[in-house]
Amino acid sequence: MSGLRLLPRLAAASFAFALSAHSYAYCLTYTCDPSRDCANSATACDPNKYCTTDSETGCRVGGKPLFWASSVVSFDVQRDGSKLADISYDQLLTVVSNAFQRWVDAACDDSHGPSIKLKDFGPVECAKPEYNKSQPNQNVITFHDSEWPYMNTGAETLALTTVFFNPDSGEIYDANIELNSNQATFVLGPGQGDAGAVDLNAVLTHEIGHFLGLSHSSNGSATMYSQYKVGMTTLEDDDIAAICASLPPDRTTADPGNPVGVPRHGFSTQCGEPETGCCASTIGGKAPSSGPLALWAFGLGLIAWCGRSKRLARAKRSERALPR
Amino acid sequence: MDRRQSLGLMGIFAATLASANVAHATTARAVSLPDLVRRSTRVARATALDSFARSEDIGGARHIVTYSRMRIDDSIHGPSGDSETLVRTLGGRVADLGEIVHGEAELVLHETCLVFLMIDPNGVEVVTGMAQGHYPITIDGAGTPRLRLSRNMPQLVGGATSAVAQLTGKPFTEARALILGARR
Repeated sequence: MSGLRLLPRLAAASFAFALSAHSYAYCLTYTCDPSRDCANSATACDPNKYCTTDSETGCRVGGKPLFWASSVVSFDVQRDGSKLADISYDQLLTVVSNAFQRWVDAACDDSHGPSIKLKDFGPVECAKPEYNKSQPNQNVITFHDSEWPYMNTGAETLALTTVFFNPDSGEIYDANIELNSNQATFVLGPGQGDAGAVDLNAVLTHEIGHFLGLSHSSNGSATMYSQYKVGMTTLEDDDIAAICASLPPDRTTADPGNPVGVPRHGFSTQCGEPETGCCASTIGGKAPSSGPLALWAFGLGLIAWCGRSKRLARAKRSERALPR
Repeated sequence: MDRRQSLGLMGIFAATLASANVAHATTARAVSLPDLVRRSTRVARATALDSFARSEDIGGARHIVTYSRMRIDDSIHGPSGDSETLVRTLGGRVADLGEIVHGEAELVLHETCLVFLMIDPNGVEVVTGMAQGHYPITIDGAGTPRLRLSRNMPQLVGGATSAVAQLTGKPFTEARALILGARR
């Protein structure tokens, strides 16, 4: 084939590639601090810490995208299901497993899917969406029948996904999904419109996208679009492109120190004990008053108390050392 | 008072002051403007001056929360004498751990916004309806301040008559009038 004949084909192929590369509207979740934005920065913008808005996609980017380091991630359905919604543990497990499977089955190319497998670690007692820094964990999916813990959101809240991660690397440590069965009506079918029962399949397919590190898409037909639609349980091209970008088939995976799929610091069906330790950081200028200061006051009080105890102990030792 | 008692008292004091609940969601029904105003104790144009993140017990579980000190630029509804207020949002970064909740309002430092606030049972101000109660304000080409969609909006169920649909894109003066109208 002569160069002259090849040229138009190459141009067409390049155009098609460019078009396809830019036709997606998905967003990944990034490590950048959401309270810092280059558009509002008076000083030089640090791209590793500050967020900025991508002019093409509208995505908020900065730092590193969130990702699961391991090729196998566990999930756990809370054992009680929902009596209010009349959805048992087994039924919820089926919905959750199917929703995960949709993402795992996404075809990144002719023969490969995203480099992740989800593993059910069985029913758990714990219904708390927290990450324990020094104790076993679980990635829990749970209903809240008796009380929605976040009362001040009102009844509009249907589901909540919480993701804990390493702010430097983007590695996801823990993710949890809570379902507000106390105030919303979930069904296992296609659901209804605005004010009616909500399709649990659709809600969980979307929330699991967040669980896996995705953010909202501006593509109106995508499952990760920010507007719920009845029957939205299938992944569209934009969603598939998103999960394949987040967890490409050929990436290098790791299981740092843990057996395959085990959460960080091990797995437990029970919630962790309260953890102690200091944890606070100032982002802007001066620290706020009242609440945060209470912890500092407690810390200072503790130091003073420890100092007093040591002084007393020294005094006692000196007393004993004195010749009688 | 012995050592154990004084330690216990210090713990109770800190826990009482520090414990709190927070508003957040990732799939939510769209909230109407009258509902948003009715549930809010304060609606204001405000600017985040600085912020601070820490770990807190929220709804019985440990979360990272961010406190933003906000300058009140224009009080539309609620207390009018305050020049600043402290607002808590869920998520943030503390040392080697970050937490994100898709759907929570993200108060950006030095960015002016329209914000709907409510007081939670522990007396802490939080954003009503999460990102549905937060609208960054930008100046358009003609120099008019306009409301933008919050960056971290939850997935909304319904919404044709929602506050989000009603306010996004509106000039601030028009949004202010709508809010005052919804208050009546």
